[in-house]
Amino acid sequence: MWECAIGTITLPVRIAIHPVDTVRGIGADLGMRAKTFVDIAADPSGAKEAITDALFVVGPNNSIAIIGDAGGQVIFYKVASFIPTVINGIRYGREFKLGKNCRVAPYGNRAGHPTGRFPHYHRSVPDPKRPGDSLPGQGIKRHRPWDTKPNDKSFWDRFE
Amino acid sequence: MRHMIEPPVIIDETGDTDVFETVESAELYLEAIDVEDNRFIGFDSRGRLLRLLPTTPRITIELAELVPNHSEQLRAVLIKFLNACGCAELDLSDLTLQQLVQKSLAFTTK
Repeated sequence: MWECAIGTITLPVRIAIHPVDTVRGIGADLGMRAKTFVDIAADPSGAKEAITDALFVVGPNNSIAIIGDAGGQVIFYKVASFIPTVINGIRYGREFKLGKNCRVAPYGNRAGHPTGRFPHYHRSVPDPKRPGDSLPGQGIKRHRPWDTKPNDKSFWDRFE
Repeated sequence: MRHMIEPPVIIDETGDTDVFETVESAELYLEAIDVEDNRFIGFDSRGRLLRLLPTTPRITIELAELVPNHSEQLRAVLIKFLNACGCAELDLSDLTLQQLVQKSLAFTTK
């Protein structure tokens, strides 16, 4: 039977080459993990002793290798869970709020505006003389840094 | 109600004003998330209030009133806007609303 912990990089390759054995291996892997969790929940102090014993049996090098594999799997799951967010962001041109007066559109928008379709950000620059107001030409509407405004005095006004 | 809007469309965001030649260009430029937050107030060229709806993928602009009840407010917005655009040499307060609207067309947002 193939050793194929879920999350390992070689898993997709093994599924392609030996689908039946690999799926069977995944089942065994999941079963083993479930049993471990149940054992830990049932007897935490016993589980701690068992883990300590296992570390001695397996040896320091193999223990570090196993911990490294586990860390790799955690990273794999984190990255994999982020993929749908990125796909939806690209498809719908999602924006992310960074406070009340700032938003970022890393994938651009899908409304059809010529500059809004590019990655951009929005920021409202407060007017120090009029609390609550934006400076002229520096409102939240602007697709920065692409849009120009009649009030602009320098190129850097796009990046305020 | 939408077809009765007389362009240009003026969108004010408490301090920052944009003038759009057409209703479509305003709908294309403004984003629903800001409309939901009630950040804008819109007028047509006669000073009639506009209703901004946060539809997707583009917002929708409709006429909120048939009678121009907000022409004085629009005048104040346009005078402030034209001053910020460098038209300070003129005494803008002497101009009519239609003259102010005509002047603002030189500074439209695309």
